[in-house]
Amino acid sequence: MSNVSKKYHRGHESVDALHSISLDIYRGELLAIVGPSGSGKTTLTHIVGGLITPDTGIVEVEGRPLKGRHDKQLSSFRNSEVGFVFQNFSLIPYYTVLENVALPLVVAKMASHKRREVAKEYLKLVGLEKRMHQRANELSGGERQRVAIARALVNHPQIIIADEPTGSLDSARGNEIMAILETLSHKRGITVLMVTHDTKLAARADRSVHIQDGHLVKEESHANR
Amino acid sequence: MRTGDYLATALKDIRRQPLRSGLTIFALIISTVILVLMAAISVGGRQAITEQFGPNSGLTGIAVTPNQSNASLSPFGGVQEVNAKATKLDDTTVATLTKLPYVTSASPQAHIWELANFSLDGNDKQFIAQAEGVPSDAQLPLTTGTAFTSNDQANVAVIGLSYAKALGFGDNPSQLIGKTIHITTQKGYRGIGAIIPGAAATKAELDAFSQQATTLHVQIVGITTTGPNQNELFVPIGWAHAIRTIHYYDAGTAKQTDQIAENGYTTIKVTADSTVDVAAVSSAIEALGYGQVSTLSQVQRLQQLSATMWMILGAVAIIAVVAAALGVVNTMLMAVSEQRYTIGVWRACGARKRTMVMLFLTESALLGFIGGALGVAIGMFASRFVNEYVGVLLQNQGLTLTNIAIVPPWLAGGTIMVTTIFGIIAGVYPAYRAARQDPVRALTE
Repeated sequence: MSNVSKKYHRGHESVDALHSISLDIYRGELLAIVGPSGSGKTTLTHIVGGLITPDTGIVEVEGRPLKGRHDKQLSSFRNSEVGFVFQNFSLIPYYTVLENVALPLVVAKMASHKRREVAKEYLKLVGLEKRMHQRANELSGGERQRVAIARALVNHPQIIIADEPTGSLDSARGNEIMAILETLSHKRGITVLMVTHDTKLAARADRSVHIQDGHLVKEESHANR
Repeated sequence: MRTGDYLATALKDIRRQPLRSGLTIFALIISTVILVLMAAISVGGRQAITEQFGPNSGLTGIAVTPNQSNASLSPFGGVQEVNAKATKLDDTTVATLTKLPYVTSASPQAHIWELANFSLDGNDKQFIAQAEGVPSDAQLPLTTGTAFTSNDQANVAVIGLSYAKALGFGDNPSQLIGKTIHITTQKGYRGIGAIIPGAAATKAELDAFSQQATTLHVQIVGITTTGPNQNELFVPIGWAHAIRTIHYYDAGTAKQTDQIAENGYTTIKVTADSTVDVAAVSSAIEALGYGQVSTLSQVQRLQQLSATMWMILGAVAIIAVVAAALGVVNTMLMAVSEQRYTIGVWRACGARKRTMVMLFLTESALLGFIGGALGVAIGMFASRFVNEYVGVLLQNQGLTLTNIAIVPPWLAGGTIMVTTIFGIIAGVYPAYRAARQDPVRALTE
């Protein structure tokens, strides 16, 4: 991305979320985006994930710009190339675990029996295949986050965007989730963008960028591979 | 998304809030039942009109009366206005009417007031005898049996198809041919078959006679088709003269008075050569000073009445459905408001705005469909109840109109379609709001 800026308008006021951010993210990289609350790090990931569009600047994924894409194209991009993991898990509470994981496949028009198989496979990957018929609101925090990761992976995305993925978990569960993200990046070659406050977690990433008041203030590489 | 997934997701959302969805569907059911019943009564009314007046070929009939009627002023019929020019209807009148342009036949009909009621031999059901005397060449349309062999044939009758239906012979009326009916006369009857007190009868004997009815035993020779004759009982005109001839003693001398000869026929049934010429024949009859009521004008008046009723009932029903649809709007708006987070999840997983619109439209359409289908089912059941209840009431009054509310397949299917379309329309605004929601705000708030 180059020179990406974004403003939010609240009534008559406008708040600068991002100021001319330029950043290259590499395939298979585990990138930590670090910064205090309100610094603009979540906005940055939402722009990369095609959930919001920047006011100015260019964002390209695999050399293809996101700008100018219609709702259909952006939705298709989110469905097939990006997987989101949010701090609050973002599961539909009255759906079963299996239904939650299969949601991107429903959007992708996959046949019912096939998507069950695929969703089961990813639930096995995160160790929750035995709880697939339980409702999402019956799971613990760590289990919910693993379901969210399974859902993010189910459509074989190139990019996983994890916004404070361990923020609601204790350190043991947080470590489990972090280990999964590391595996995805280092062994499966998936690009992982992880938003975090936690500098210890950020240090486990390949690289970290620090955002403050919408500005990219620092970039560090870590030799973790 | 696949169609099946839209339906499954919408059903899941409906089941998520069972009480609210149930109440919305309940409101739709009530309005649909009203709509179905209103339409069923209108359809039943139209069918009753058609049955009453028979097929199109029966629409060329004109009933000529001695006095002119102002029936055309009102769809409910009218009163007979005494016309100084009118004379009694007799055989001369029949001959005059036969010679009018476009008239193919003119046949007299004499109402027999003396006959009160009748029953089938071996059957307890009693019917009011709407008896008419007609000539043997009256061309009564028959379902089964034969016409009278002569005007003077006695103790025979053609009965209306409605009586056959009411007696349980609707499917096979020919089984009634040859059976006997017992016709009870009015008290004090002095026509053929009555045992008249002699010239020397005392006052007490005369008083007792005035309280006494006579029973005439009559063989059924024919059954009419549906149409204007289906609720009547016909006997040959010669025998009608005999029934309506009063026998009495005057100063010890036996005397008799033929009331038909004295007062004339009740009506003369004129048949025009086509429905196009009915108006011209009607005008010609009125120009002669007689009253006339054509079957065609009666049908038109009743159809006008039916159309007006349909419009009023339809408006009431549509208002009810619109009110229920507003309930759907409210339910869907609440669903959109409550499911902001879910919408955000769907959008993050790649669902398009159009997918969200379709998802909420499917949900509102399903609410309309379920409410409509259940409403139609209950409406059909209710119309059966109405038919049974009203049928008994009408039968108690001597009428045999049974199907007052009819739900044909097109009405059932059309109503479900209407409620589903109303459901879709009700879901348009909430679905639009769902699609417009910012997924980021929905997920982070």
